[in-house]
Amino acid sequence: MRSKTSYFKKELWKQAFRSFGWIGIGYFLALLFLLPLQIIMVKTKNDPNDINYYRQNIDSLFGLNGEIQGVLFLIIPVLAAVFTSRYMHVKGSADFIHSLPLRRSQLFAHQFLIGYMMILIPVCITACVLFVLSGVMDVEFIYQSKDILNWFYETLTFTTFLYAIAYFVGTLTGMSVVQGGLSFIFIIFPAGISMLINENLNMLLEGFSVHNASFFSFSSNLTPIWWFMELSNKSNLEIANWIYGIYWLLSVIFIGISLMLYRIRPIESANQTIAFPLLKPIFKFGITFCFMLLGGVYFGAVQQQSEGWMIFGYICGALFGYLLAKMLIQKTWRVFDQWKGFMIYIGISIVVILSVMFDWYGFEKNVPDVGEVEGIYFVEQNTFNNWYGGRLDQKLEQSNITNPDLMEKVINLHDFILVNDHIGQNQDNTYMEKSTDIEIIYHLKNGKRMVRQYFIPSIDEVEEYVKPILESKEYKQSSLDWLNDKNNRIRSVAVSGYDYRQQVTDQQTINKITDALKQDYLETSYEEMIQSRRYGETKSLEFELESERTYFYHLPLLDSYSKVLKVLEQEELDRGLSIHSTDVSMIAITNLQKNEEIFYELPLMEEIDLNEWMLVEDHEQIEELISLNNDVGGTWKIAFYGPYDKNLIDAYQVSEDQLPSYVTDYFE
Amino acid sequence: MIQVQNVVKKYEKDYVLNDVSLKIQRGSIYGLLGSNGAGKTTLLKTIAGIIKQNEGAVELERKPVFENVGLKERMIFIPDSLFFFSHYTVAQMATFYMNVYPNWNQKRFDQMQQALDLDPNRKIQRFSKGMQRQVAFWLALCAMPDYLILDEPFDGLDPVIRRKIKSWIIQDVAEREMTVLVSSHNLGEVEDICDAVGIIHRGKLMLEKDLDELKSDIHKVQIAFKDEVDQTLFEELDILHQEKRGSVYICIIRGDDQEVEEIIDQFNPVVFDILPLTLEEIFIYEMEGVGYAIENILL
Repeated sequence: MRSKTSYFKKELWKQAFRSFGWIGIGYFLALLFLLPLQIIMVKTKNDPNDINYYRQNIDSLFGLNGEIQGVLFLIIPVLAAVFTSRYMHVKGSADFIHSLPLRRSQLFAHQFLIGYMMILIPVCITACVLFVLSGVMDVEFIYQSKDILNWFYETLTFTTFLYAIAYFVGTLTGMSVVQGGLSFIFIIFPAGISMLINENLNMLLEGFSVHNASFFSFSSNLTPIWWFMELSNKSNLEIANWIYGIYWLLSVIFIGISLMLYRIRPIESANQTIAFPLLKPIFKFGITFCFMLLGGVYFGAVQQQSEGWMIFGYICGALFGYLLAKMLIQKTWRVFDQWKGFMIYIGISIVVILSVMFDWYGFEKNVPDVGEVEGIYFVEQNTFNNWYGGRLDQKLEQSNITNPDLMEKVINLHDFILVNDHIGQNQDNTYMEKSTDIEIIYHLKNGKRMVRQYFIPSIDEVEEYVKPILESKEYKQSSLDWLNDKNNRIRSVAVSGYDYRQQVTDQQTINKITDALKQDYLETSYEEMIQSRRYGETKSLEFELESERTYFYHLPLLDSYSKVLKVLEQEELDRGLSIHSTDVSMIAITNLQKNEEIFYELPLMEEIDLNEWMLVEDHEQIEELISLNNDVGGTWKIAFYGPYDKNLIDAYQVSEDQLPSYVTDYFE
Repeated sequence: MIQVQNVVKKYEKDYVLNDVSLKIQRGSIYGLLGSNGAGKTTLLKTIAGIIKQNEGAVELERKPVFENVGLKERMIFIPDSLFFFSHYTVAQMATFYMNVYPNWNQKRFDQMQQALDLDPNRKIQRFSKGMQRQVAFWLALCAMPDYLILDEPFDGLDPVIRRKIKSWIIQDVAEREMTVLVSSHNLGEVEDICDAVGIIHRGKLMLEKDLDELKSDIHKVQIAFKDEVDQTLFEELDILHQEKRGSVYICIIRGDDQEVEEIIDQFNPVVFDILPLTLEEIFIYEMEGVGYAIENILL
């Protein structure tokens, strides 16, 4: 008598649930404690402070125990995939299951779905519980129905993706441990490999910029770990819908490939590191390649990018990776007998690396003619106006220099950097006081883009080229484009002095300040621009821009900004902006760099080495010394202390010729 | 009927099965002999549809067996190291089989339980090795398979259980024309139940014989002559092995017994006896014929 056969075998589900149902149950309990219970706890405690905190800071359900949720999202899908694929990784069970009258696709559907239930059902039930909870008690201060939906959708998107990847890895390998490890490596792979390649090119090629390889910056979007961290850290992160789309699409693709692979998977590969013989060389040389790059980066970074050490790092890294891969594949550490593959690999790698090192592709020497250039986006990293200038990626398409004269200056600078070997080399880039990075983005007339980035050991060496560029109206305006953009509405301005901070929201006053600032800023001298970034400024302005997301821009308030200072005085916003001698009870002067670090402790110190320090308490001298600050700096350090317990108010640097004679005499 | 044609199976670069062909008639018991690592298990798993051959064809009833659910429903493979789901009782395992194998016979399961005197609600992993083996056969036979594939089924079992299991197999073969493929590294273990045997060595099938035919086909003959015998006698016979002790020749001869008798009679032997041969002896001489010492292949 034949009983009716159905596609879904009840007993297979039962068996799977018996062996790893705990994953789903554990996950559900964890979610229950992390979300609904947490909410009930807050609610029953009914502490107004707590409720206020949640109302203000928690914008999504990821705000509740977000870090633990993040960890769960990483672990549960991989765990579920490892356990559901275990039937094909254990020899006895692989033989048994595949001797049953079940098609491979049928088995796949069973196992895949059973595992997926472990991550799907707990999230569904938790969402239902949250929904019911919002019906029976007032939890609006934490979440609304919309938040449940978002949480549900986001959680599922990422856990599904991870599960699909881990399951895919499971079909590639024959060992559960390898599956677990490799799954996590897969997740960070796109970001990891692009970082490695970028870093290596950066060390090998003079002038290389991360913007040369914009593909790689995209790859970090495909690295879910990054999203998990963002999700649990930022309450108001908004991830574009197309990124969710990509994740779902990738999940489906990975599941599809898994099924295709599973149908041809050799069952006898249970217990082997790599299930498909064809993949073994890919695995082997993939690992070798990654470790080679890592070795190069490591020794390059530790040994100041000396090329000899980098080569040493490449060879060591490759050797280590190669042996490691062989050990993993053969599951023994005694793998020192076959070297042919490695030799071929090293041979090819050396040719490739040398070709990059000696610039066979003409990357380093290429400088465009003025005639070829349509516009240039020039960035000098170390002036204040670039510090908060927003993300450069968004500006890659623009130009901030289109004047042919200025473009020529940029090209001259580029030539100068290339001619002077020690400038622009990425080797030995130890940052000193006047070091900076310069990035040049040429927009060529043929539609192409050329990006170069150089390290400048001291900006003084290139002053004659950089000064006219930095002082040009074009450059200045573009580097504070948010200020000049008429579409931007500034919501508030905060004026900070050495011990006072005031916020302005009155639109008229804001306009007065910004108008004055625009004029003052255009008159800023080159010296002020390169100087003011280096030392902490006492006075500053902070602008809050009104847009979808809140942006804050922070600018130093230079002494030369006479128009702004005048407006502030008129509006009575100048409190605490300048130090008056009556505020200062003591001044300490030193010319030793190391002493800068003990400015704070100085009044508390029992013994002060008067050979290193000069202490001034005379009222007239204090007044004289206060007036020395001009935002330009020097090697002498002056610290001001207030009347209460001699607290540090401010410190700045001056040059020796500014100092009155009684100070220089003191130190002689 | 099981038909294996020119099957090749490679693990990486090693040939585990190299051009293996064999045929097993319906309702017969076929013994696959070979030393460890000869490729027995691989061949059985290929026939059971677990692994796929690289080349050649494995067919049951002229249909390929790989991914063929209809055939696999009527076939059970019992591996050398048994597998049961962890923490499963016999009853739970039976429910699983019932769900998966449509021909499951619950009545038989209950009957056999009484004969076996095993508690179906005990966890299988708690049973001894011999009992576990019995459970495996109990479950397998209740699924009423038409094909039963057994990998080293008698290894390490005591004679009582061995006999019991053999009787079950023979019973089903006789009653329902079940086809059985059984592997072993020991000829003596399977010679009493097999209708045919094949010897596999280093992935190649060295020899395939019908046992009844084999037994009537090879003879051990003891002959002596008064005078020196004419060598043409030995040229006329198909001699696998020959030795001389004193004036007595001991020959292993292939051929029809009547023909052999007639030829020898022409030379007027003084002594002429046809002696019984054990199956093992037959194989030793057969393999010698193809240039192998069987002791090295089978133990």
